[in-house]
Amino acid sequence: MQQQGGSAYNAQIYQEACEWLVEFRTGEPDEAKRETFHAWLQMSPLHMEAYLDVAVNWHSTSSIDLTRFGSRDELIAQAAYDPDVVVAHPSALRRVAPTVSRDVPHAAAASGAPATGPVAKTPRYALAACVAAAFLIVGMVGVMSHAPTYSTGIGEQRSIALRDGSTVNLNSRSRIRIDYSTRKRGVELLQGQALFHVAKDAARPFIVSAGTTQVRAVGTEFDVYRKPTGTVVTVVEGRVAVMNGSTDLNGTPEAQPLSAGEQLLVTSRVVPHPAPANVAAVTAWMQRQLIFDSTPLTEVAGEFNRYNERQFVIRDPALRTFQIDGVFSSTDPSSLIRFLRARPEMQVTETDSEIVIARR
Amino acid sequence: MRRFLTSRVRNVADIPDVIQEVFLRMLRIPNREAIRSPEAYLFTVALHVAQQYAMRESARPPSVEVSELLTELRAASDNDPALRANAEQQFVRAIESLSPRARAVFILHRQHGLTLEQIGKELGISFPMAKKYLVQALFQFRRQFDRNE
Repeated sequence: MQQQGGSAYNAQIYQEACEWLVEFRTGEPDEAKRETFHAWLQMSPLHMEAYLDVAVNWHSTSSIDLTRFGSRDELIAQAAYDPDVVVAHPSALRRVAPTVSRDVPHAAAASGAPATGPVAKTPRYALAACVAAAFLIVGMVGVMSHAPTYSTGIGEQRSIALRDGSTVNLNSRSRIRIDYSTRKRGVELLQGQALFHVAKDAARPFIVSAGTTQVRAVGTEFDVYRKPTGTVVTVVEGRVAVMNGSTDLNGTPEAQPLSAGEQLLVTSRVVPHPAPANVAAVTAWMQRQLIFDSTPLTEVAGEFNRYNERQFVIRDPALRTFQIDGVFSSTDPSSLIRFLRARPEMQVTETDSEIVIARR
Repeated sequence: MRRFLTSRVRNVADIPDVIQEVFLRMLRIPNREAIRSPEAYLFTVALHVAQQYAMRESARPPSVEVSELLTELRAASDNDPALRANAEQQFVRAIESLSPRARAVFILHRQHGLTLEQIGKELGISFPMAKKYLVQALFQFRRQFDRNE
């Protein structure tokens, strides 16, 4: 009855469609958000199809009688005994992103377990549920022990829903490896930049490692950018602890707490201190934007080169420190080129593979 | 989308063309206009193209009210009673398989009309978390249909 090819949906795209629909149904997205949504729709017919599908499903459920699931108070009571670990599996687990096999046998077998029946009326039951959940997770970790790796090419971005409800947004030319266990949720940033939105789970800290730097969080949102000069950690919401393995002399690395709106540049030698961060600028890449505020041209060129095959090359060292302000589209260097061409001292030459900036 | 289209478009083989056509038309809409209400545009175009393919009278001016468009969209899947009963069963199964929290968030919002802020307060979770549970529920529907296709 449902069509052939219906199962060929892309889990990641569908996840994004769900997020957008909820965004529109539960609030009034501002213009910037609507613009991002429109751009998302225009990116591919698959996006559009997924969104229509989600919209139909959403609307269809309004005619279904849901009272069989209990009264308002019963629902609230059931949810109250639903510890985060329980949430972290079966339904969430099955939406592990595309590269992982979709039908994990253990997960399928477990699907009914924690959800059925009058759930946990007393803390004792809740505890039992936790223990059961722990077993399920151990079982599933066994099945999926190969650590999945996700990567993006030049100009590509992707958002990955992790099985605990956390999400990772991967910027251009970036790579991460997921390493979840029963004790911790580990993510290794092998290259590039990622924004982490961490679901709360006090029992399993979320730890991002980038080289020797470790960022530890429980439930928060933060950005980690592995630059050649060091690793930049920016906190959007909540708090994290940043540790640098290489400054560790007696086995206990010193943790540097970092709060929302703060930023830390961790290099191999320097013991860092938090500085106030322009969070909007740091996370602008999510909107495919680059925001510069008195940023030296060499850094600006480096940023554009992350997103574009055609690379900026600065011929004249004296121009490297020239400062740039403004908001640019990360995948469209043309406005920067126009801006530079308007400067009397600059000369911009474009070839198929390079954009050369020299002194006139 | 496919469920919506199957009941509108007579020839199932046309569906990929319809989707392609909707997409192409979406690309032609001037950005400035579409951004004012991107959702409404998408629904309008989808309905319009589907109607044309179904050879129905496409004289009716498309509405821009999202709620009306959604009613239209739903009406499509409500046409066939068997289809509808089956869909309903799938929805119920999907809701059953949700975690108690995701289930509570979804039902409190859809059936009891609580806002996410109110739900957050009742369940002691943050607004973004409540949102995430709602997304989880929606995602689960697709999985459910997928398993039964």
